Amino acid sequence: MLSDVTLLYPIIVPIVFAIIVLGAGTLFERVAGGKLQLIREILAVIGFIIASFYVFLTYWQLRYLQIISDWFQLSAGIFIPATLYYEYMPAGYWMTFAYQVFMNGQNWLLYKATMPPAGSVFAVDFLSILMAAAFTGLGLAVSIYSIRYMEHDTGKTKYYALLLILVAAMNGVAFAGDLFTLFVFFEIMSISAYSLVGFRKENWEPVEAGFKYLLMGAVGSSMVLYAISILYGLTGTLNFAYLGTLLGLGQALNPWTFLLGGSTFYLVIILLIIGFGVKAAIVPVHTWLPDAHPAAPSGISAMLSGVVIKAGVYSMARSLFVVFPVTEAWPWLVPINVAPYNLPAAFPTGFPGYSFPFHWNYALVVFAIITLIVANVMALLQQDIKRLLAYSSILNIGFIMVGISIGTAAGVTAGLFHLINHAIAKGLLFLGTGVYLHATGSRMLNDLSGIGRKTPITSLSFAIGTLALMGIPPLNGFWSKALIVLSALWYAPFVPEGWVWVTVALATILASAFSAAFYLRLIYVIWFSPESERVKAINKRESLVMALPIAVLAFACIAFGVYPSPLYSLANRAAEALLYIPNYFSGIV
Amino acid sequence: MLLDMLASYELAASLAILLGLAPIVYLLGKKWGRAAAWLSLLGASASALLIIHVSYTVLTSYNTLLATISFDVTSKTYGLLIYFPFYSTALRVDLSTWTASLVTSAMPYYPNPFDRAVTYPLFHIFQYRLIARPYYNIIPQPAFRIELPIAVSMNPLLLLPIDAGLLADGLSCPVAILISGLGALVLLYCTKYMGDVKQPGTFYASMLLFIGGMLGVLFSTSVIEFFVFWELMLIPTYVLVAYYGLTEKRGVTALKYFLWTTFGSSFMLVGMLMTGFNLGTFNIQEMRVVLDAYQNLLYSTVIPNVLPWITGTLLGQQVQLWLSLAIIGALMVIPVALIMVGFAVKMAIFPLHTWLPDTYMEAPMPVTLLLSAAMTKTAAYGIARIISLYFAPSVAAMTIGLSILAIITAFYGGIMALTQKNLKSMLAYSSMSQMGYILFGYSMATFYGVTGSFFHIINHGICIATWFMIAGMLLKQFGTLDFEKLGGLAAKMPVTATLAVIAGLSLSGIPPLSGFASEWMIFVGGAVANQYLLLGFMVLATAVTLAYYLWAVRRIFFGPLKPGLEQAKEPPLRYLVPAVLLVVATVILGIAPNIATQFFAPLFGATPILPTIYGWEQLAYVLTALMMV
Repeated sequence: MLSDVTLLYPIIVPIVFAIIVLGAGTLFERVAGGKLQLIREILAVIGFIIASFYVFLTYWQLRYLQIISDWFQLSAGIFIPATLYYEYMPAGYWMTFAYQVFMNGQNWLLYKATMPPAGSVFAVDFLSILMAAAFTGLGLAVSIYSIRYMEHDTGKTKYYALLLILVAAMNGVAFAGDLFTLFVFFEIMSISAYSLVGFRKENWEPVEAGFKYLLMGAVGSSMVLYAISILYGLTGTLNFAYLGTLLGLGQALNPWTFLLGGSTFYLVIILLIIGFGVKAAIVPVHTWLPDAHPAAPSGISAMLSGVVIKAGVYSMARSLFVVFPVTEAWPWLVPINVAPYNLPAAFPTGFPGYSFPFHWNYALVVFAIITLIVANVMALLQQDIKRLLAYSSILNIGFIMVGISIGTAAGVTAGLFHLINHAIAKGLLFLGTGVYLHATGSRMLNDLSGIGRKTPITSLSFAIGTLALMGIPPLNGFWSKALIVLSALWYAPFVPEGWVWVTVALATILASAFSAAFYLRLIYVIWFSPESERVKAINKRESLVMALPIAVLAFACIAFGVYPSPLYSLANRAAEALLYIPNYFSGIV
Repeated sequence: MLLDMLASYELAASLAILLGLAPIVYLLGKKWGRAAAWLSLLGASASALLIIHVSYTVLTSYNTLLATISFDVTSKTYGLLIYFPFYSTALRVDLSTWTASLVTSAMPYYPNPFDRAVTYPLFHIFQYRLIARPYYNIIPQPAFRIELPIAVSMNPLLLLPIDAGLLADGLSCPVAILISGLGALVLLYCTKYMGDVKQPGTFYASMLLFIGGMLGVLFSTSVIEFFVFWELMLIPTYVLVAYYGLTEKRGVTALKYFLWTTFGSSFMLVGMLMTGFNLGTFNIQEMRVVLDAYQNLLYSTVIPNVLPWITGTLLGQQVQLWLSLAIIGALMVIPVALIMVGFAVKMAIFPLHTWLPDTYMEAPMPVTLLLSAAMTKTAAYGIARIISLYFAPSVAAMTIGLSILAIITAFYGGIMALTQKNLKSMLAYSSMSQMGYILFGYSMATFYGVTGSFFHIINHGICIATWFMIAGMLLKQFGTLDFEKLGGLAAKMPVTATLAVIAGLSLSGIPPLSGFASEWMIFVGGAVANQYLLLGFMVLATAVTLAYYLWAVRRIFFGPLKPGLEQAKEPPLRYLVPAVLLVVATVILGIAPNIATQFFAPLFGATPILPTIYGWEQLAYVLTALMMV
């Protein structure tokens, strides 16, 4: 069960089905026509279903490992009393994974192509599986949606193949266990994305947008490549486990290790942030996104906004947290009735600090705040609904960055939670705009006013998604946004520059409140304004095949808003997997 | 200490404002009626605010030398039954570090806040099982506070032969807040209700004197001063009923009221004089000292010399204690009974109640409100202050008689209320019936009975004031209070209907309103005194109360809209605001009765629980008393 090639099925299955779709699609285009061509779409959907099944299976394998380790500790009587520092500490409650080092010898599911440290590994932990679940799930929704959306397009074979390869590559990014593998799959993902953005090459707009995306993505990738090469030169390995352990242990064992890299580390950090930031659409390298989203077919817009930029966020987070981890020792044996009231006694050497050279999370949070501000202002000025949603995506990436840059378990959990919630809601919104585009032929808000009554299911789901992004309880967006703000506030008392985090929390609240303006404008335009000419001309009902994934995503918004606990627990385990460096180490040993 | 000094000035000022503004208002009212009305409202509000601040000072200043705590532990177990009225005190949880860590170390920490939100409340509830006070096997003691009474003496250097002063302590403060607050609210109500009254100067001056007289009764330190203010209270009410009564017979009714009250007061004066001369002082605090000294004397010297075998055993000690209290009780039975007569007239206890229906119907609505919600409360307060605190053994001797009278009053008032066709007369009889409840609690002479009755003073004041205000609103709008003519008004005046329902339910004893808390305590007092049969009757009277209140609400507010009422609308704000404030107070006191009981519960803690004496023993007891006189 563990550590065999089934781990890679979420990557292999979509590739295999891409090949099948290519073959079958070409065949049916030549040989048959009409309805038989649907077989190609069905095959794509089946591919996604199988891939998501394997993702689900892998998740349960990981959970099994974790449950075993917890129960072992309970029975051995060595259960660590719960930490009360969850909101202030870098690694969270599920430190129990450390015991797997002694018990099972691993807590990652590992597939080694060639032996580390020089080889390529795939290491699946909770963060990877979280991302893979998001990627594959949204891919499934988009593929079902595209059956009806792309019915009048040509080249659908290439479309579905590219979609499958996109998802396979993103799963590869998620499962990558070293920087090289990550980079390879990152590039495959980028190329698929460029092609899909420029899919409708008859018009100029998608071509320009795709080309712009390509150029900016290439520059970003080259910056990342440069950073990877610097790291390889410094340490001789690219494996996450080795990198993290080397730098952490080096700092612990030899205080002069900071001379190892010196000021090069500043360069590495900046290159990583900007390089991956291009893909993650951080201001000031976000400018490709407002052009790419409107130009791409709506399903691809949903994918781009929902998961592709999240892959950039994931890569950035993974590389930064691994290369520059938090290194404070955990106070294992502090008596329980002293520590909550006597933190200085529990941490005599001071509170946890980031590894040298400096606290990079402050740099990241500056970028995040700028992202929030710029995205908010720009979104207010838009007349094109997809461009508006694109800027909204940038805004939400800002929120996620705020959460992740806090660096505590609570913060990273909140950021990842918001990542999932945004993926669901934004996917929902873009699919909805596709329905509107399909019905009226226009993306302009003036042309879409009053479309609510004509497309009730879609528009109702659209409203739910918008409310979720606004942060209205009891939808899921409320919980994640609230937790981001709270995590910042919880961390503030424990660092000398706590005022930064209080300011960050305030800025996040303000940004959230500000964004209500254009979200409400959206809802108003769609539901409460008089119908425009194009809307009056709609005489068909909305297609159920398109409305189904939208409604399912809206239902997920409501369900996770009412009962967010499972998602939050998953995000929590993912955050711990990211932050707790001994996890990486045990996977290799 | 500075705050205490300020508080004593505030206390004096609150009374002086009312009494001093009266002539000013009278003169002003000759020409400018509205100015007189608003000025009197201003004075009453100022007085109320001063009294609230004095009460806050009383509550929050501590003085260990003046501790008034005593504990009364019996061998009976009543468990939750008794602790229930004090449920708000159970929220005081021991928050020491040790207990917190004890609990937290037993609780797992779920990093998922959504899981925390579910599991922590469950652990929190469990926490009470771990460290809550066990409330079985002993009667739990309510949260006692050591308080510092604020006293002002008119004779600080004891140069003059008079002994008078003002005392604000846990007993006077809540009732003073009630009465001055009600005074202010009623005057606000009057500015609109009696806007077109003739001779407004006299009216408002009388109202101010009335309220001032009542506050004087509450704050008095000496029994004589109490009596003086008691009589002083009489004159403004006579004026108000005689000049501003509603029918032609107002003069006669006012005279009847005056004569009845004076008749009762004369009994009261005799009783008070007897008490004063027997104990050697007229000052209420000194009486307590004398009684304590006498009890100590009996306990330590007299009884061991007369009955030497008693001091040997533990049971003998109990008997000795009881005997000392019983002797004091026997000595003071007759004065106490006489004083009770005086209070009974004022509280309209059967058979001294006949003045009540006519006077209440005669007086205008604000005056009736004050008569019912404030004046009868001073009588109930007087019982608590003068009698229950120090003469509980005497009352215990009269338990059966007084409680039978109380039950008859409650049933009489209740059944008469059921038969009334007019809301105002129904409320008058309801008022009388509730006084029966209060007397029942006092007659039980136990801690819970007396505290419950005292609390019921406050609750009944609030609720019946609400009801009278509503009656005033209806009378102003429709000109009639007949149940036949009113009906279906809830749709037109939903706020008023809500207020009426809540006030009615509170008086009927429905949790979580305040009337429930006080009535529950009264019944518990009866249980502790072993009077289960009488208690049963009283509980039946609650059913009658519920019946007439709900029926009244049904007839006035629900059902089809009667013809001629289509123009009904919500009463204006100046009528509604006082009523809303009172109902909010009812609800809050129902949820946290400790807000009010924290004032007076400690003072009643010294009330001992004595076995009730029946039949021939009672006769022997009374004969002994007569001999002692």
